[in-house]
Amino acid sequence: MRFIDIAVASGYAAVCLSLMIMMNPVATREAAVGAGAQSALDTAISSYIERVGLPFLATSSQTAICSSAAEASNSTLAFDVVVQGEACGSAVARSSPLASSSLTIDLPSRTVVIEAWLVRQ
Amino acid sequence: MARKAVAATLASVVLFTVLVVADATVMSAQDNLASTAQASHIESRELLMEQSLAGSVSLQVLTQAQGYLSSNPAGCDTLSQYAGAISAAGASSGEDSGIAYAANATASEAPASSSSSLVSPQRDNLTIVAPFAGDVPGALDLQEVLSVKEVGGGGSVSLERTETHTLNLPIKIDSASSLCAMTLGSLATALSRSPCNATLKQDAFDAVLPGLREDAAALGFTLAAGWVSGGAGCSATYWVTLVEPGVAGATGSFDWTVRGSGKTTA
Repeated sequence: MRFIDIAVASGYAAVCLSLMIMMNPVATREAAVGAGAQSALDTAISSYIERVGLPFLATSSQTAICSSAAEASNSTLAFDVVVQGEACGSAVARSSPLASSSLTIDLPSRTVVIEAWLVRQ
Repeated sequence: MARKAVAATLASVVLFTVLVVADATVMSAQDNLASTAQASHIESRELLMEQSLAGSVSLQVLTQAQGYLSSNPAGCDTLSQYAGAISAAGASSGEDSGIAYAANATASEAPASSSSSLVSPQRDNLTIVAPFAGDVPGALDLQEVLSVKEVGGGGSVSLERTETHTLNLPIKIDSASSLCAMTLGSLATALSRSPCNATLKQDAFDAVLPGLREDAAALGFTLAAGWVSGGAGCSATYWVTLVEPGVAGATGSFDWTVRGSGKTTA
């Protein structure tokens, strides 16, 4: 009787522990945080495009575009713009960002990729 | 002793059950939060893409219109119909970040009520293509019908929009029209009033031309003009070419040309 009791209790405990490990909420919380960060970056890219305008990205020199990306960057957010495959190359923390997002825009004269990162402090 | 063991086991079972239920509740809440955040992310991504798609197809439209203007000189006598002949379209489709998209735009001359009657620029909310968004009095105004459709999140988040916008290219149609009338009128007067002699007609032509060039320059145009004797009698055929150089277009500057001609009778 005692042996059965211990076996049932141990089995049930094992099942419960397995369930708790399987239902780890950390992964979903990280996914939610990641999605939130992506939304923030998309909003930042949108603000940048709205500020400089597509005609500027379609006609300006690489130097002027890189300057605008540098102006839009700050200590927590970094922008880079790739024009016809050529990046500004001055972006901070490209190697280990908290989150990153990019948008490719096919303009009549060139293809522009706007990249944004949340910088790890 | 056995009862105590059973009681301890039951207590453990209850405790573990409570822990599992609590964990499941937290997990469910986090799952809902993650789903909401994911849907929100897809929505913000779709809005970003909608913005850039609307701008890029509008730029395609402006580029086509610009190409037409730079390669098709206008005629002084057909300036009013010139803008009506312009028709442009742009389209883009594909998939980005799991969002399928399709955007297209068509544009033609804006109705007179929304362009020529205006005395000051009218804004349009397609500010991403500024300064080519909105009406500009005296310039070429185009009415664009823009359509964007996006589907993401496996079909759960969709965005569909059809809007009408006004775009402009800053050629000076009104200035060109007044210059045409003034220049052709002045040349006609000068050539028809001069005696029936090639040298005297040339003198009359040369006398009026510098002033016409100055008037054209004041409105941002360069002017070239010439004339030939009509052969029979005292008639003369004259012509002018007005060029608006370096018009700031959506994809770079271009020259816009207007040509006109006339003939004096003997």
